[in-house]
Amino acid sequence: MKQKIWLWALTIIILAIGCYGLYSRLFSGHLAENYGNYVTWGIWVSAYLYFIGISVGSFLVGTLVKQIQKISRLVALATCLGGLLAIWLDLGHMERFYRALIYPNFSSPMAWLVWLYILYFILLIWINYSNFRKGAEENSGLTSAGVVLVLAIILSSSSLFALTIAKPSWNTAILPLLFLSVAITSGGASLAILTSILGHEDKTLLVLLKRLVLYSLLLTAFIEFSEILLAVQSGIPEHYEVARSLLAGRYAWPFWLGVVVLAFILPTVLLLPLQSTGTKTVGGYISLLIGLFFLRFLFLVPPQSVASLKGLENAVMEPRYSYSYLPSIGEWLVTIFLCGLVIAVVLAGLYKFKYLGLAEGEKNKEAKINV
Amino acid sequence: MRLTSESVDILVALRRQLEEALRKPKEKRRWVMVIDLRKCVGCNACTISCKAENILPPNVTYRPVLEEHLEENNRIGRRFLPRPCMQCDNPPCVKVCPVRATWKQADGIVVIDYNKCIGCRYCLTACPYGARSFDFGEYYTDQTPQFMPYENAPSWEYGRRWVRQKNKSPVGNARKCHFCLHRVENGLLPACVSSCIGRATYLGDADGNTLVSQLIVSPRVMRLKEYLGTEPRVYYLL
Repeated sequence: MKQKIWLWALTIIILAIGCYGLYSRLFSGHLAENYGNYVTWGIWVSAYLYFIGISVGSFLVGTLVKQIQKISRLVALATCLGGLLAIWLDLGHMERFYRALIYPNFSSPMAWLVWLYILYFILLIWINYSNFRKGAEENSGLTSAGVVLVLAIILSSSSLFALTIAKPSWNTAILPLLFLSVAITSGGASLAILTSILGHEDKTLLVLLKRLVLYSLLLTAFIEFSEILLAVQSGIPEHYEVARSLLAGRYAWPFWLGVVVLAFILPTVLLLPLQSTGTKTVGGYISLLIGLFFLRFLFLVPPQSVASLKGLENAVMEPRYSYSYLPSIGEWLVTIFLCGLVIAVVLAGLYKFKYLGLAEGEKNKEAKINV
Repeated sequence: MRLTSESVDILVALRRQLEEALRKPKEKRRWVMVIDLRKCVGCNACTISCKAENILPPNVTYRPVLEEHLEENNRIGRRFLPRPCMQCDNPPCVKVCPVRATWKQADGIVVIDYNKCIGCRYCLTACPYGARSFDFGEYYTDQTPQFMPYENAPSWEYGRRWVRQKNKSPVGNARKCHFCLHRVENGLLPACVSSCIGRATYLGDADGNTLVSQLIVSPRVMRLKEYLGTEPRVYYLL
């Protein structure tokens, strides 16, 4: 009971802090935000990529590992909501988002995504509703449709960047694979944290999840460093500048501390050996999830921080024509609010599951949730 | 008709040729801009006149002038490169707009319908020339002792009356140079062309025997980032 109140109190504090950012965005528009005309997409778009990655990743992992299928659907719904809200708040005219449905331009990956997200969100609501109401096995047709949608979302969201010829470091065919591996890593880590917190005793399941997360993390690291190696070795100016800013430039500290240490080294150290459980393991997953946020941010921002024409960086002496970007307090607060919202939805869902005895996917076992 | 700078001032010649082009149906016109870099002195008159013509707020500039410092063997040089929208024939910004709020007109100008734009800024990211800006809703004289009414004066972009107000277009929209289409269609040269003290910028119809049609086949001509296949309609004379 105490734990339940503590968790909810923490979530409400996070939401309350974040509320100011939301208020500022809704009533002052984009005035308080720090993104500009060159770095056009900032931390909210990073948050969108991050949450959507967790959503589709947890859907895929939950499909592969049946024991955690129901929780995976809940996490997928909560993070999908967070991601879509992040991108909605990022629009200049939030009230016009419906136009992407009525007047879509299907040559734009963004238009594909709007349709895919609508279908995916409806599917997740339907699946979670069925889980809450009936607790029956998931319809295999819905699962298959979900997997197809998830793969289409991964392809489309990576294409959104990969088709941008203006940014050479995004313009690579390996991007869909990177998005897939990051999604599985982050989705798997989120589910593994929940499974550990819920006190799941099935060791085989815990090891399986850990193995999945570590393998996908290895693939993520491999792709990430291949990209950097190729950029450095090829020396193509715009591509090289992005790699340089990560290794020894403006974004060096978030890259080395956030990505290399928090996303790659620390989780590997803390998650091994495979049989280990407990606080150390949870710490490893938390470090990984924080590190992957850095990874998304650094995927997004540095390619926008390189001048596309020589002299453009000094051509206009106005603050929003800048190639450097640091999120404003308002942007941080909205991001905190979104995190709080995702946690609140997951907690509420787990609270509901507790009464149905489905939290661990086993009806005969009482869920060990203190939420 | 053959009009050159020897016979008459370039601006007069351009204006006459513009009027002639306007007599053709819209789909027969092919607007192009030529910028002679040898004539550009980097005065930024084009940037300022564009700001004034389109009542542009802070952080929205359609035509900056890029400045490059050159240094070789203790010799120093400067090169200026005005950068309007390239009005590409294969515009990356148009392809990515999710709501069809921007398109290429028959006369070659890439336009934006402010009332359709959702402000996702995908077009800003997709432009290889950094030619699009986002209207954040700022004012130069906001939070100063007196708000200046000229900031709320209407602009006439795309032939319509636009008064900037909170949450109303063009605030919250992508914006960019449109070769002053509202002036051109009324027989006037764009603000940047009219105000250029060095007569470095030319605008005209590429079809027919016009000044610009002669200049764009000059061996001195180059276009920015041609390797991307965007087919810009802004030609630079080196």
